[in-house]
Amino acid sequence: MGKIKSRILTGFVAAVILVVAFFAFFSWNVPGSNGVKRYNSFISSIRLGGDFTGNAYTVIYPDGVISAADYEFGIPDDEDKRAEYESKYQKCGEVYVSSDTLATSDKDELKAKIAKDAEVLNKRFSKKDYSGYSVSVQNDYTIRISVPTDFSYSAYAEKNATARSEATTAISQTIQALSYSGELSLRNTKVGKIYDSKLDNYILTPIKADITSYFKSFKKYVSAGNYAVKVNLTKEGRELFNSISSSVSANEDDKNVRFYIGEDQLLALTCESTITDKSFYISTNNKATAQDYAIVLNSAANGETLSVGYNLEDMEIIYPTASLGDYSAILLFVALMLVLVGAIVYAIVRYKKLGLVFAMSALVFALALIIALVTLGTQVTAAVALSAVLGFALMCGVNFVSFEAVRKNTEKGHTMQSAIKAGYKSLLATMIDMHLVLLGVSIIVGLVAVGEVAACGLVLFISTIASYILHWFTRFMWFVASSPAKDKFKFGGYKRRMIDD
Amino acid sequence: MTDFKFSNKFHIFLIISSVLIAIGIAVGLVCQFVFGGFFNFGEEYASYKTVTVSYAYVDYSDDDKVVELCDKEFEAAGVSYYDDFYGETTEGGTLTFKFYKSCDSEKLQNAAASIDGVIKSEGSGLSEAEFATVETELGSGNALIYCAIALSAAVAFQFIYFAIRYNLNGACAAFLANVHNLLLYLALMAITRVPFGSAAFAFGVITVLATVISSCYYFDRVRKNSKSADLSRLTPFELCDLSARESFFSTAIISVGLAAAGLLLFVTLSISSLSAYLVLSSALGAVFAALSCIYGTAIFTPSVHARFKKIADNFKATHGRAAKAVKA
Repeated sequence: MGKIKSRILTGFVAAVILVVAFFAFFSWNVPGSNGVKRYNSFISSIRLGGDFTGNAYTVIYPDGVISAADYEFGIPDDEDKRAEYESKYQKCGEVYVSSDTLATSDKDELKAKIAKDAEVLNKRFSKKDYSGYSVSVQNDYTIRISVPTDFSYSAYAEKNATARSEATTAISQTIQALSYSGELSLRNTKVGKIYDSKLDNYILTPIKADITSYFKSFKKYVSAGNYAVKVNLTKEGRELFNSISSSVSANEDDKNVRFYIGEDQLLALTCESTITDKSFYISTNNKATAQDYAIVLNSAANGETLSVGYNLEDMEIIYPTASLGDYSAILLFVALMLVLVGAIVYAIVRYKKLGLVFAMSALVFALALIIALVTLGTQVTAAVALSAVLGFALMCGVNFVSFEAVRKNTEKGHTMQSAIKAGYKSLLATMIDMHLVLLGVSIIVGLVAVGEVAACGLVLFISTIASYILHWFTRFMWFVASSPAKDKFKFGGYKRRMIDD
Repeated sequence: MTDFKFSNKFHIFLIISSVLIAIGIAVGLVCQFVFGGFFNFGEEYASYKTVTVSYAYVDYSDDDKVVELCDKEFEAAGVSYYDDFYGETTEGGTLTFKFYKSCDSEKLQNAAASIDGVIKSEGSGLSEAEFATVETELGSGNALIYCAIALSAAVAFQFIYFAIRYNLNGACAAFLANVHNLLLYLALMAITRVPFGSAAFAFGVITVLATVISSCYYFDRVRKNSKSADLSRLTPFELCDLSARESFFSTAIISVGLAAAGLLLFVTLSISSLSAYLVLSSALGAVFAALSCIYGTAIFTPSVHARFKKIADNFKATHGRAAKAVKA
């Protein structure tokens, strides 16, 4: 390759890498916006797990159960009313349970119901693919729910109010939706078999009907910006919806089949005509809502309902500091930079200008991973960060081993070109084997595992592909960048052993 | 190491591995039934007790005074927390102090009541403190189960790939290497009762990954040496020993390198959390992962593979003679 062509190509590639790196690593206030608008770098837009941005938690109280603080707050000053108030509640450990609630279920029964509800909630939340969550019984009578905040660093550091607000709203909606209690029922305000005076609507299914037998599954549906819950019916369900939809669609005032969990309406299916298909879609506002409603409807359709009602209106969600400390996200960045810079420095010291070629590949690897994480919305936890480091170590290892194989050939007296060719060829089989096996492993881990571990599989998958591609990119850039060099051995820090005649 | 014959020492390695794994299983089972956990599940997974202090900004403008007050009461009650975190509420802030489940509930209740009394008397009455017991069922323990299934499937995939790429005896040896190394790592964790949290979990995955990569190197050396005219005449034991010696350095570098990368990450994170627990579990996890992988892949596996190879070669020879006899 000609010197000018080589320099232009090398300069162009380096410039592209630097520009992308600038946008990936640096955030700044938009000029002229007086600090109102801010450009957030790719890296500060990566969603972080609970390790780095904390886990939001709330404690939900069953109806009729209040905290000791609320009990004391409610004590009237009037001595006469005080006695009446105190008789309404019984102290049970750290909480107070209303006497009316204990009249229907005694303490042990209530504790057992709440423990069972915690299991149901645990199953519901497990479908959310969180990197980590917990549902636990607190003080025997309440349930503590903890989920990752899903903040990016800019949202966590309160530099991006929009992102933070979206994340907090999503958490609140999810906890509320998944905590709906009661049975699944189909209702309409005008037509139906049984009238419910409390909700002022009609239940559409017969009183003895087992509604769980009508539904095969509820699934989240996302396509081209449209979000919906896909409802799959059984044979019985198909017949039922045929009959329900014909009577609802004939009604002028309300053409909706409303899906209720207990007393809460989740979805409404508009029936303009009779439904004869075995599945249909009910649209929602966004992906999270579609997923949440699908989870809770599936749970109810499988007979897994919460046996106790919970007070979700007064629920307060706390957003605490990260479990690894306030500065953990910054220190994670520092640790990853240390690994990246360390590898580059080692390469430059050992391989001279070839080390700079390696530096380009290392930066491309880092940028590719950052862009993939932002685009896919993958939550980064300590384990996912470790997977990224392992992927980077694979890329470094493959390149350094190749450079050493070339060194061995130069010491045998080969020319530079033949040394590179022979060195890369000798390792080709091992490298392909390693990458294929790791690719297979990462695909399996990504597909079979859930939550954080699935994210690790995804990152390993991306890293393995990037490592393979960058192995050849490094070789190509080595050829391009070393074209103008007079001493190609010195370019890579090699010494050619001259063979005696 | 330049002349070490791994294959001849098979019985020693087998005894070492079997004893370690057996002790690990025994200790784990005893702890499972007596202390409620095969491993010493760390803070992320264990049940715990809390004292939560919710304070109003009108009473305390920041959490430093509240923390100081709470520390005093906890010291007086003779209890100490292992973790604490702060969160904002609509009226102020909330501090949650986490205590081990084994901590005395009565002492904690008294401490909470004492803190409650102090902050109510000092402030407007909007601040409060309360005690709670939180029972977790391994938290998001589903992830552990799915991870175990995923890793098992991944190991099975490696077996199939090696069977196609190399041969069946190599695939069996690679499969055994994965199972052996992971069992050894888990046995060491069970015996030493190192806190089993996310760091220890991550190093378990590193053990499997390092084994997969290292075994690629070893079997590639075996394949190349088998094809060489000079070396193909060696017995299976000599061939495996030679390949093990040639790939030992690569295996050691890979194992130590991956473990060191993980250790760097977790130790850096422990600076932020000021967590000695994280440093301890990371450091020991890294050491166990590296040791399991180096010992398992570089030393134990070649001696096993040599025997598998010998059986396979004998089978081929016998089958080959029989086929020739039939043809003749």
